[in-house]
Amino acid sequence: MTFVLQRSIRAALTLWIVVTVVFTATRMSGDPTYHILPPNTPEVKREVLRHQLGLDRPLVTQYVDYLSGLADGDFGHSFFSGRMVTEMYLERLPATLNLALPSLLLAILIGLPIGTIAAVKPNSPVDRGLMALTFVGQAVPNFVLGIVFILLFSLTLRLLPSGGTGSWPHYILPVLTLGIASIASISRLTRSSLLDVLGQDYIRFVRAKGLPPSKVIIKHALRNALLPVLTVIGLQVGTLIGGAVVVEVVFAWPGAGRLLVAAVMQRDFPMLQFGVLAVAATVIIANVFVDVGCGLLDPRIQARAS
Amino acid sequence: MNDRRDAILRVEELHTQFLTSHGPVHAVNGVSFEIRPGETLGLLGESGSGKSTIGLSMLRLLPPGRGRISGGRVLFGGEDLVTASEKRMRRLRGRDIAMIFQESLSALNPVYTIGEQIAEVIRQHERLDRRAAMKRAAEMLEMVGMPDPGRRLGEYPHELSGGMRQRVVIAAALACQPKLLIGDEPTTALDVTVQAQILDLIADIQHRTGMAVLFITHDLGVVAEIAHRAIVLYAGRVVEEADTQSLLARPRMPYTQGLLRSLPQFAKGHRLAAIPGAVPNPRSLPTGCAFHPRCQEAKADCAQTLPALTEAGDGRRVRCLHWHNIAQDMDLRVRA
Ligand SMILES: Nc1ncnc2c1ncn2[C@@H]1O[C@H](COP(=O)(O)OP(=O)(O)OP(=O)(O)O)[C@@H](O)[C@H]1O
Ligand code: SF4
Ligand SMILES: [Mg+2]
Repeated sequence: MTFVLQRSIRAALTLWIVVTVVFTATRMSGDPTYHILPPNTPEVKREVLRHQLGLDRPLVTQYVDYLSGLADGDFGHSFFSGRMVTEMYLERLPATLNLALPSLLLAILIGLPIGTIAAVKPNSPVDRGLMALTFVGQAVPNFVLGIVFILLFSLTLRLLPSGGTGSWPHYILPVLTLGIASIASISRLTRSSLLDVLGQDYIRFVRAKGLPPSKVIIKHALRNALLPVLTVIGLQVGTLIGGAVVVEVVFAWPGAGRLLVAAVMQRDFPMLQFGVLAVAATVIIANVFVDVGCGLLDPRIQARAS
Repeated sequence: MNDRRDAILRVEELHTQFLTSHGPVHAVNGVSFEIRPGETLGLLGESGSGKSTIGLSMLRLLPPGRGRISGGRVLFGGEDLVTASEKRMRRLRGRDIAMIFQESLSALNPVYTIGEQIAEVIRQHERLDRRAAMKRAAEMLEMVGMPDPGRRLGEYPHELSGGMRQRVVIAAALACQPKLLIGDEPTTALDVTVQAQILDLIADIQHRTGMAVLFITHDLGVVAEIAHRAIVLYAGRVVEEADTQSLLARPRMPYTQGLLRSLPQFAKGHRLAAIPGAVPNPRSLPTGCAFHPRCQEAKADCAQTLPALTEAGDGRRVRCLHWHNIAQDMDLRVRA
C-alpha cells in the first residue's frame, strides 16, 4: 500500500515538474499574437488579443491559473481554434497509437527472437550478422530511415505508398521506420541479458538435470533475462511517441505528433502544454505496467513491493 | 570393501583443455580412476588442480566453445560418455548421474518455486503428471530433512536459508535415484554444523540406495569423514590414490605429505607448514614431475622424468620417482 502511495506521489511530482518546465519554456518562446494575427496588424489589436488570451497578466498569475485549471480537469483552449485542447488531442491520438502500438508490438515480436537467437550461439556468424544489423538500426535516425524507405519502396520500386492513411499498405513504411530502432534496442538488450543469465550457476544446474536446450533457454533463462528487457520496453513507449512526431511529419500521417509540431510553430501554448503532459503521463503509465510485469516475472520483486 | 563388484564408473586417461585467448589451458592431463557402486571416492586437490573440470567433463557440461575433452574415456556402466550423443547425455544427466555444484547457493533459479525445480527433473525423466511429481518432490524434501516439506514446495529460493537451499539442491539431484552423484564441494559454502548434517545425509542416502559418490573437495577433514577411498590431484594429474585411512595415516607422495603437514589435525607432532611455492600455471606445466619445483625431496631426475602412477601395494598408487625411500621416512616421522 505504501508502495502504491509512494509511486503515486512520485508520478504527481514528475508531472508537476514537466508542467512547470513546459509552461516556462512556452512563455519564453515568444509572442503568440505574431503567429495568430497577420504581420502588419496594429499593436492595439495585438494588445486586445493578448488580453483575451490572458497573456497580459503577470506570469505567476498565469501559472497559478493554469495549475488550478489542471486541478479542475480544465486543460485550456487552443489559441488558434478556440477548441478544447483535450478534444483536439484525443481526435488525433488514435492515428498516433495506430502507429506506435504496432511498432512496439513489432519491436517485441522481432526483437526478442533476434536477441535470443544471437545469444544462443554467441560470436557465431549468425550472431555477428544480426548484431551488425541492429547496430545500423540503432544508429540511423528515424527521418533518414523514413526518407530512404520512401525513395526505395515508393519512388523507385513503387510498391508502397509514401504517405497518408487509408489502407493497410499505408502502415508498412511508417510502422517499420518507427519500430526499427526499438527492434534494435530490444534485440541487443535481450542478447546481452540472456548471455548474462546463461552464465549463471542455476542454468548449469538445470543442464545437469538433463533438461533439453529449449527448456533451459525458454523456461529458465529467458524468464530471468526478460526483467531488464521489460524495463527497456517501457522506455520504448516514450521513445516511440517521441519518434512518432518525426515519422508523422515524414509520412504525412495525421497523428497527435503533427498536432504538436504545429502547436510549436504557432506558439499555441495550451495545446503544447497538454501534448507534453499527455506524453509524460503515457510514459508514467507504461512504467506502472512494467513494474507490474517485473513483479509477475520475479517473485523477489513482489516480496520487496509488499 | 566392495572389491568384487564392477566399477560403475571408470575414467581412463582423461584430458581436458580450455581454449582461451592466451592459448590452451591444460586443466586435466590424463586422469584415471574408478568408482564402485556404494562407494565414495574423495577427489582432493588445491584450487586450480582441475577437480571441477573433471566433474564437468564427466557430464559433458564444460562451457561450450571453451572447454574441450581432448582425450580419454569416461566409461559409465561400460558406455563411453565422451563419444555419447548429446541426446543420450541428456537422458543420463539428472537420472543416472547427478551433480551438485560448487556454487550451490546460487544453483536454484530465483523465479521458480522449490517444488517446481525438484519436480521438473522427475518429470523430465519419468512419466509422471505434475501432481505426482510434486508429491515425490515433497517426499524428497522430507528425506533431506526439510521441515514442513508440503509448505516449502511453494516457496522461492530467496525465502530459504543457505543450508535449506543446499538441501533442496540435493533433493533435486537425488530425485531420480541416480547411480552416481558428483558432489563438487557441496558443503563449502555452509557453516560447520550444517556441513556435518549434509555429509551425514549424503552418507545415509548412499547407504540406502547403493549410490556411488564422487566427492570433490580441497578439505582433507571432509574426505576423512566421508570417503572410502581418495585420489589426490596435482596440476591435473592423479598423484596418489589410496583408501582414506592409509592415505591420511601414511601418505607416500611428498605433495600429499605436505598437504597433511599444513593442517593441524593431521600434522601429528610435525611443525605446521604450508607447502612453499605456488600451484603451477596450467598453461605451461613444469617438465618431469610437476611438483618438483616445490618438492623438498626432489632429486636431479625429477625435473626430467615424468613419474608414472605406480602400484605401491594394498591397492595404493603413487606418482613419484622416489616414493620407496620417502615412504619409509614419513612413516618414521609419523610414529615419532
Ligand atoms: N572456463 C574456463 N576457462 C578457462 N580456464 C578455466 C575455466 N575453468 C577452469 N579453468 C582453468 O582450469 C584449471 C582447473 O580449474 P578447476 O575449476 O577445475 O579447478 P578446481 O580444482 O575445481 O579449483 P577450485 O578448488 O578453485 O574449485 C584452472 O587453472 C582454471 O583456471
Ligand atoms: S618425483 Fe621427485 S619431485 Fe616429484 S614428488 Fe617425487 S621426489 Fe618430489
Ligand atoms: Mg572447483
